[in-house]
Amino acid sequence: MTLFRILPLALCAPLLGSCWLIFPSPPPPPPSLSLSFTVPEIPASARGNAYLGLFWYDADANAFPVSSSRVEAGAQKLFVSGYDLKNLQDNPKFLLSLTEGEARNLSATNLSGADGVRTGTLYPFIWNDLNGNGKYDPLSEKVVFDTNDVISYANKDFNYSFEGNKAGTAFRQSGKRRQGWTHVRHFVLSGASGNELTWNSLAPDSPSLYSFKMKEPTDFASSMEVRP
Amino acid sequence: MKSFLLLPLLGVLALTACAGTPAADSGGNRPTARVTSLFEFPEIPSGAKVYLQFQDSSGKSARQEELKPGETSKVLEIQNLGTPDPANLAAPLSFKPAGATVVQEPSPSSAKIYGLAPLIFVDKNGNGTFDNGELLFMTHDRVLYATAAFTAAYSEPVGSRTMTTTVSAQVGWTRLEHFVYLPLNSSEYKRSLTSTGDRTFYLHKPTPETSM
Repeated sequence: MTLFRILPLALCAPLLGSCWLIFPSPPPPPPSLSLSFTVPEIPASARGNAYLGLFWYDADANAFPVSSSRVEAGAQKLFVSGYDLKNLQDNPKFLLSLTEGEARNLSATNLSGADGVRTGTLYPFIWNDLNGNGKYDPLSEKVVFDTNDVISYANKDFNYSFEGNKAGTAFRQSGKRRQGWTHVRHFVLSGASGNELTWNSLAPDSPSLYSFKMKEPTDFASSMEVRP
Repeated sequence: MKSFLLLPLLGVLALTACAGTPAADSGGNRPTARVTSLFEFPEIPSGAKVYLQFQDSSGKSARQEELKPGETSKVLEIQNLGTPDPANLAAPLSFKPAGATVVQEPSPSSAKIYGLAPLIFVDKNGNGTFDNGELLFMTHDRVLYATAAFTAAYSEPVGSRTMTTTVSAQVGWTRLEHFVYLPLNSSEYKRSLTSTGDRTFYLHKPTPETSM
């Protein structure tokens, strides 16, 4: 028995070695992202016209799609190629300071920890594509489901915090971000002591990495989405 | 030529066979798999002793672990306790509050559960047990054992609003995930309690059930 195990291994190892010499590996493509989504039952008004997309916004709040696909209820996948991600990382309109980007329009005060930080954010949501053109038209088309989790690119590791206000709801926000592309989880604690928001990069070995549980739109400053 | 192709294949098969050999089980009839759960929490303060406790529905501690100052996580095998004592098993909606209305009866109704609430307390009076005023961190997630997969739903008033909770549990030991949100322009909180494969529990400062 032992001989049967050792013999093929002994013969196999040098053979594998020589294969590497004959076929040197090509340079690896930039890492891509494979995202999974859990989608609730689509309301009758949107059935057949529901599209899942990944969008980013420039400093003037114009929306740009990265990837989109028609969806139904249940488990859904979305793929973002490494080349698309690389192009975004190199796009100065995508990478913004916190005041130009993530904390824009949130009346942020006492911002700390964000010096030299540049981030870019991809927002997943599902919209009712009324005109059936596969594109999101924010003026005439409604978001059916979203998640407050995001996919973020950060130019460096950083910890930050600020106090903000969204449409009259005051909150404290803090977060820990890792350099590179990460799944950033949104977590709200609301109760007697006010609203506390945390946005942290998920650990690389988290079982929930790049899984998103979609829900109806909520007030991100006081209500929840978390832990897909 | 053909044997050259076959030999590496045999090598792979031999490796698979090695990896597939089950480890000897020294634990009698307990499950052989090590099922670990991760408990994450804000930094544990120094001072009085701090414990992570698993509390059953009657308020009794089923297990307790001391946490050290500065710790922010703990890995424990809490979800392979074996089959709970039948005397501790309860009806699927036994945990619903008194003022709640059943929206969907448990299906199947024969399912039974045993749930544990993870909590962290500061043992201010040093008696080693969890007393009033000692709660530090908690979670609305539960460590759950179910004798069968089941679904159920109930609804309850919360201030001027209502909250509807949908339960979907898998058989055996799972993490029952609490997920709640208030849709925009709505007065109905939507809450789900769902068995998940992710066994990461995040303990945080105490919040109401309408929050995480």
